[in-house]
Parts: sequence; structure tokens; C-alpha cells
Amino acid sequence: MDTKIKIKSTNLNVFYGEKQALFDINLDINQNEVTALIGPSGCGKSTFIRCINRMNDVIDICKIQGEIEMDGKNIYAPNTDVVSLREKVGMVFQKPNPFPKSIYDNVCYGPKIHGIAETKDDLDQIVENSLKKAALWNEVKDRLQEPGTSLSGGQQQRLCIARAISVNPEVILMDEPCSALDPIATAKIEELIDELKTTFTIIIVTHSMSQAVRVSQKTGFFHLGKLIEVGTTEKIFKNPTNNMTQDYITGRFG
Amino acid sequence: MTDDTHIVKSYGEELQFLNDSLIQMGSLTESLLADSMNAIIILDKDAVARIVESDKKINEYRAKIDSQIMTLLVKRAPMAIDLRFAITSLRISQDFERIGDLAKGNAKKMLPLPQNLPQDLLSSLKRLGNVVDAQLNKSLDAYIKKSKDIAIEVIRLDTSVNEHTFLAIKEVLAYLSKDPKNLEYATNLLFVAKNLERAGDHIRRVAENIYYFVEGDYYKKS
Ligand SMILES: Nc1ncnc2c1ncn2[C@@H]1O[C@H](COP(=O)(O)OP(=O)(O)O)[C@@H](O)[C@H]1O
Ligand SMILES: [Mg+2]
Repeated sequence: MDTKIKIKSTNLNVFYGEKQALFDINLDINQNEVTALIGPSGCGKSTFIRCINRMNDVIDICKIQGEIEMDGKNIYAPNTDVVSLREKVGMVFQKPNPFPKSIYDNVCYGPKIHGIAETKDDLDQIVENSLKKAALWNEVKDRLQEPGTSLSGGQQQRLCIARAISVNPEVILMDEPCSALDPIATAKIEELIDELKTTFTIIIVTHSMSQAVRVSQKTGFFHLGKLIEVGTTEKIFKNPTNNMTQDYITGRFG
Repeated sequence: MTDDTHIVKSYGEELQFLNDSLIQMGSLTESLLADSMNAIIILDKDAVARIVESDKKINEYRAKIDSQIMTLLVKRAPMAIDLRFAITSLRISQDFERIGDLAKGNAKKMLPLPQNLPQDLLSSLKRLGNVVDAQLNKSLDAYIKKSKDIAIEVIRLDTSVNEHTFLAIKEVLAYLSKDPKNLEYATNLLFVAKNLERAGDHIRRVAENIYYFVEGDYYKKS
């Protein structure tokens, strides 16, 4: 299978007021792959993935230079429809954050506001499919009207993944999706990520080296706002080129 | 490995400890090989018991290093250079153990030998032994310094080991052709030469692993 570049960041610079958070980021994200972003706290990983669905737009002091292309189109071009961009690029956060609504409503919320589903039957179908894809259906199919917050942490995170999937995105951004989960819940999410990549392009920020190795095909190492090294995950973790990468992944600096 | 800058101090210490264990094991192997070679040349049959004991110690090192590495893998999930260090150290300790076995085997081969072996034969075996000794010594040097250049020198010494093996075997065959009664002795001496050649192969593998550790890629003859 030929790898196709889904997202291309070219000379991306990001500022929060005076402070520059990202410096000349050039990074290609392959379609139907998992790309892991690693690096010490504050190095700009979240800033980078938030550029991809233009979440940084809502931060007044945030200025962005350079380009991010998705399928060859600059998402920062003036005529970009940000609402439809966010439909295409879903996001899952560190802490599971289900709405204070039923499991069912959590999943159908997106399709409703984006006008994807017309009838109740359509919605039912989307809810079922999304929960199945998120590997949660069997656990919740008999309790769809219970509040999302009644689920365990790992189930809540899979609910959030189902919610992200429900609007048929092309890309899913995950910002440390397992950091609040126990090892078993983490293992389930990781397995899920592996399945999801056949349908979606995934970018995951993680603090766990072994998680990056388990789930991703490509890894980028950020340090102080710069992309220090990017390569196949195998290369990065067996034999990185850059000494800083090596020091970070072997635990020689934090 | 000596630049212990790990944030988790005990992790750095564990790597250092593994490094030290392997150096000790290698040094022991080196003296065992020299001891066994020397004993053959001067036909010191009393040395056999001592050599068998040393070999046991080398086997113990191997077991100890195995478990150190196992613990390291589960406890630290080493990455990159640390991962390569753990894996190559595991392989190197296996090669050291095999070299010890071969040296011990050689020592045992001298038990039936007569006192009056021809000088030419002995000196050709001795030269072969010296080349292999020097090769092992160099490989230990490469390990201590983590030097890919020294590792390459060790790999290249393989040709020299093979040449000396060929010459030693020629001498053994000449000795055999003098008198068919020499057959049993000659067979033993052939084993000695062949075992030294095989020890050389293990030493080459040690060096190849050191190269892999340093470069993250396998050595290719250029
Ligand atoms: N909303 C914000 N306002 C100002 N500075 C921010 C904001 N978000 C992040 N930063 C700064 O940008 C840098 C990168 O942060 P972030 O992208 O969150 O890093 P990471 O996700 O790798 O921990 C940090 O120095 C952080 O303090
Ligand atoms: Mg972050």
C-alpha cells in the first residue's frame, strides 16, 4: 500500500503573545497511520496538534505562521470553513470529558449539530456504529440512557472516542488519551487505536515511550518548540540519529 | 555506558553493573583461554582440574548476567542505546561462555598426549593460540572502550586465525604421516586447532555485537 501524506506542516511557527511556542515545524503525517508525538512537557506537542483543527484560533494571543495542508489544501487559507475542518478532524483529550448527558446523547450530539443524521433511525444507526467502532457497544448497549459519567474511566474515554468518530472524521487527534487510565483500560484503548487506523489518520501525544512503540508507525520528538527528529517508530526507538532524542527516550533528561 | 547520566540513578547503576560483570566475565575467559593454551604447549596435565573450575565460574557469570539482563528488560524497558546494550551484552556473554567451553575442551584433549611432540607442531599450535588470545584481548578492549574501530580490527583478525589454523592443521597432518601410531594424538591435536578456530568465530561475533551496539546497524564487509 502506498503511503499518502494526509497532513503536511510547512515552516509552522506559533506564538503565544511574545513567546514563540513552535519553531519552523516541518512534519508529514501519513494517512491511515498512527503518528506519535513525544517530548518533555511544554515542548509544544499540544500546541502542534491544536493547530491541525484550528483549536488555537480561540486563543486571542495565539499567532500562527506557515502552512498546514490537509489533502493538499492549506487549512489556514482565508476561505477555509473551520466548522467543516473540525468535523473532519476530531479530538480526544487527556481526561475523558463526556457531556453530562446520556451515553446515547453523547454520541449523537455531533451528528445532530452537524446535520449529518435526519431521522431517529439514522441517529440510532450512527450511535450503534460509533460505539461498535470504539469497542464499547457490547458494554453499553443495554444502558444507552444512563449518564455517560456513570461509566468507568476507560469506558468514558472510549465514549469520547465514539463521540469523535460519530461525525465521520478523517483525522483523530489524541492528546495523552491514556494518562488518566489504568493499565487494562490503557491496553483496550491502544488496541482500539490500532483498529481505528484502518479508517482514520491518527496523531497521538503520549508521555509513555512504550505506548508510542506499541501504537505508532511514525514518531516525532519535540524539544523546546522544535521538532528535533522524526522517523519510523522503529528507527527512533532502536537507533535514533539525534543525541537529544536518544537522551530523552533513554531517560537521560526530562 | 560509563557516562551515567540517567535521571533514575539506580537505572544507570544497573547498566554499569552489567557492563562490569561482562568485563569480568570476559577477563576470566581470556585468562582461561591463555591458561589452557599454555598448558597444552608445556603439557601441564595438572592444569586441567584448575581449568575445569575456571570454566564453571564462567558459566556462573553467564547465568548471573542472563538474570541481570532479564531484570533490566522487565524493570526498565530499555530503549535505543540502552536496549542495544542489553541485547548485545546478552549475546556477548553467550559467546564468552562458548569460548570458555572450547578452551576447557582443549585442555582435556591433552590428557592422553605424549611428552615428545615435535617442536614444529607445538610452535604452530602456539602461534595459533597467540593469535586467538590477542583477538580476544582486543575484543575486550573494544567492549571496554565501546569502540567500533577496534571491533572492526577484531573482525578482520578472523582471516589471520583461519590462516594459522590451516598451518597448524598442516603440521598435525605431517606428524600423523610420520607414524600411523600417532593417529590418536593427531586426532586430539586436530580438535585443538579446530576449537581454536571456532573460538575465533565466537570472538568475531563478540566484535560484531560491539559494532552493532555502537552503530545501531550490522557490520558489512566493505
Ligand atoms: N494558551 C496558552 N497561552 C500561553 N502560552 C501557552 C498556552 N498554551 C501553551 N502555552 C505555552 O506554549 C508552550 C508549549 O505548550 P504545550 O503545547 O502545551 O506543550 P506540551 O503539550 O508539549 O506539554 C509552553 O511553554 C506553554 O507554556
Ligand atoms: Mg500537552
